[in-house]
Amino acid sequence: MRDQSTLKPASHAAQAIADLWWILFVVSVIVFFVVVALLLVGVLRRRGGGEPDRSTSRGATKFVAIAGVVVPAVVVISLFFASVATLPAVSPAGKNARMTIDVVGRQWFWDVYYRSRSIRTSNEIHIPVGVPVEIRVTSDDVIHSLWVPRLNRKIDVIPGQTSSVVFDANKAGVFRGQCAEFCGVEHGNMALLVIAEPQTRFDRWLTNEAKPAPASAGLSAFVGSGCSGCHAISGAPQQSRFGPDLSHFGLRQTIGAGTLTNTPEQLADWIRDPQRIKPGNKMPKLGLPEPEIQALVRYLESLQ
Amino acid sequence: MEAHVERLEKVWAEPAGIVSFLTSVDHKRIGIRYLFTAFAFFVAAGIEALVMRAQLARPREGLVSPETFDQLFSLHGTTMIFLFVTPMLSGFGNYLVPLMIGARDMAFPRLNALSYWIFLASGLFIYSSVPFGLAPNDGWFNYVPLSEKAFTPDKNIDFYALGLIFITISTTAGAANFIVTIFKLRAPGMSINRMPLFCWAVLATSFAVIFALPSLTVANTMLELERNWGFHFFQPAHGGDPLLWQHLFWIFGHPDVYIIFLPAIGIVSSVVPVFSRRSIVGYEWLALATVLTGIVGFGVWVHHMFATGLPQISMTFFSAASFMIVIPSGIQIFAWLATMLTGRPVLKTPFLYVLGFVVVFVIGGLTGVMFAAVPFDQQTTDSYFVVAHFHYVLFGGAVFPIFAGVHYWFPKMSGRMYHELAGQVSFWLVFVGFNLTFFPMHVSGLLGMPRRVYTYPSGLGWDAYNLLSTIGSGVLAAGILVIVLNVLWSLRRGAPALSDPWGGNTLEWSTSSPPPHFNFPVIPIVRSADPNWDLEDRRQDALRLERGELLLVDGHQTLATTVLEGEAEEELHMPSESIWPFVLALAFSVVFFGLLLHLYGVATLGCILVAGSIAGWHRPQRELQDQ
Repeated sequence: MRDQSTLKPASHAAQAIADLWWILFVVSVIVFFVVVALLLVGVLRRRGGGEPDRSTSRGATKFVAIAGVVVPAVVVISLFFASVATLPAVSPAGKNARMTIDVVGRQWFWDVYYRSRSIRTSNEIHIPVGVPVEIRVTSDDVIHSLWVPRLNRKIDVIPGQTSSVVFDANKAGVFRGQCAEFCGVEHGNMALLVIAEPQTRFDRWLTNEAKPAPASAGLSAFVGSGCSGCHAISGAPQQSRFGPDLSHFGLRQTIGAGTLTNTPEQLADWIRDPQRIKPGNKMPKLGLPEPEIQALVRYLESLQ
Repeated sequence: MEAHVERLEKVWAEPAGIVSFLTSVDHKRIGIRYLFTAFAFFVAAGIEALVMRAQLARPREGLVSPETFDQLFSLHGTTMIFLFVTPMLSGFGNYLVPLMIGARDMAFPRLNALSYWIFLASGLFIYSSVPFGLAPNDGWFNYVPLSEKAFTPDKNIDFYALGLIFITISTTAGAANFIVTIFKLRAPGMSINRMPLFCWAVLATSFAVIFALPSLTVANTMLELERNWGFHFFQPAHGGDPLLWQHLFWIFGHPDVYIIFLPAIGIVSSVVPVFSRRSIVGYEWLALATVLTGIVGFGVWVHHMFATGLPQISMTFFSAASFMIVIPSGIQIFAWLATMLTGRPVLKTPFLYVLGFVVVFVIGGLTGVMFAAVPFDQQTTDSYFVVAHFHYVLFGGAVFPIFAGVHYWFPKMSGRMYHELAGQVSFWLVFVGFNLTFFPMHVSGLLGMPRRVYTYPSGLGWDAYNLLSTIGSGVLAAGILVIVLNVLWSLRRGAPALSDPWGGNTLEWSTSSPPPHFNFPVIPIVRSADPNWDLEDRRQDALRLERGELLLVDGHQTLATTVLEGEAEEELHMPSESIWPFVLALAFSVVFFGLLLHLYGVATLGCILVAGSIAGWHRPQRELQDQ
């Protein structure tokens, strides 16, 4: 499955953070073993107790001054500079971002906008490889945090504030991310996928996404079952933004912000009782008859 | 001599029975109550943690509902911070500070009783939410806007916000009491540079409490005004800002880490010299490091907010301050190591827990340094890496020393020895269980697992680490169970303890185990930082008792001394037992339940009761002068 590891960077920024981690890790291991060695020597060398020794030892005090002040000061000042040197790699977009994608955190899914192309999608962000993309985030409800560890640091998604982070994938792949700030009962099921693909494939995807769904019997069923009260499909008469956008849903890899894999069987399960699968999410159990569910599944999976 | 002691017994004796239970102002009884009550909350929070670990043992486990899980982790954090560690260390402070400085009680004994009763009442207030399924559910730092009425309409958050405002009264009163006690009631000759390091720690902590808690109270008051009275401090749509809550919370929250940690290292500094059989190395350095930690701790709160999109230049400042906090910790670690290296250590249970503390705390400190590095923090904050980090700091930094303290002072408090073998078994179970529980969380965090998720899919490489953590939590729980059984068994069957079973260096070991109500038959006179190792001075105390000097037997009396030099100033008359602290705590409970249930008539009645209880408290009373 898609990796979410901070130690498998797929961008310059994530690489810089991982490098910083390895520096911090090595320094920490050395310090740890020095302290433990001193501790073991201290405890095991001369055991036995006896009358208390009340002498003051100038050597011991000097040891505290050097090992406890001078050495740590040198170490942390070096680490501070290593940290500062990493900052530019993870800074918000400068002038170099060549594209902007807006992401709105919602309880409990990700609303994704490519505004220049009037595209709305959800829980999946497609980006071209090798192109710095500015991801601008804000929230409609509570605080979330957008975290795709293989691409960059996390950025909190705060209502009333727009922040940004850069995704600049240096290899193609599917990178999983997840909400990292507790945002309510389904915080645990608020994942997203970032799909980095070569520019030509990305452009094809973008062109395809921009196409509205044709009017069809399936679309009427979608509207008739009440789905369009919350979900939008481009080309449909009603465009509610309450729930995730379902345009081109058939191309998506997951259901319910990473809760299920997008297969016809799992989609049917989801429509039958979303509250059993993702308790507390905002989609009610509609109690639709089975043939209607199957028709909706066929329709949604056909939206390519 | 016998006559003097008899007279002290008579003056300080408290009546028996239930009335005495409610009216006692003896700092030792109050201290022990603090310890037992806080430990009960520890057990509750531990059970909450075990349920969470069971839920997370494997992917897509369905043991508890998401809503229940949210209440579990919120209650776990809130309990551990506010109802266990802080009051547990208050318990040690209460019991030990007067004994260590040679006083007969805290400076304000009735205020001390009030602190305990309010702690108990506010703890019960918060836990009264549990039977209704309305426990706090937005985490222990309770971020807005999630905790606003629009997103959490039920009373979960009102239990949290009002409960924390309530407990603040207790903590603040306790801190004021400690400051005055430590400044004014030290034995003659105990100048501030001879004061036990534990008292330095309690002093620094108390100042931190006084300056940090108002921020928490303000934040929670604003939140209650928003939730119930239509105010808009945090709502962007009305010109507010959700980050205001985070600033207010962490201006309290980060110093609170040191409020938790400092008294614990005070315990470490008490145990290390006694079991290393030498005076502590670098006393002045340690005292200074303690104070410095308390101060610098106020300058680092923004490192909890590095991912919020603040300007890089301000983050760099807070990053530098956070790196700087390493220095005082370095001083402490190496002063303890130097003491051990130049001593002749004795490996008894309290010392084992201290050694475990050093190992665990160094790991927590090192990951703490990592979080001072802004980019690394932004990557791993709110992941399981941070869960691992703060458990290494808080469990390692505070709970290991607490367990050291429990064993170290058990003979003093109970008059009996604990079972040494059981103590050592408990240490190894706790040490192994702790590391097995929390070390794998570093890895799951680096592999991208966010905290506070009630479940996770398989296939992300997290499964094995989560299972290890769950197994570890069982081992850890077994270790804690051994401690409980050891304490319960030893209270009845333990060998009788001498007044000084360890060869301790501080004054609590110079009086009997357990100490009499009046602590010391004669106020000791001190000439060094290790007064109980000054055998000649202690012999002089005994001689003065025979001669009848400095006995202070006319009522509840103790000696006030000057702040710096510790020169005798005046004899103080202390208040004796009283029912009013208990009544006042009840009256406050009426206020807070009234506010919780929106019964404003009841809340008003509560305010009247509070005013009445304070009046009753201050009614002049005849001192027990007995002739």
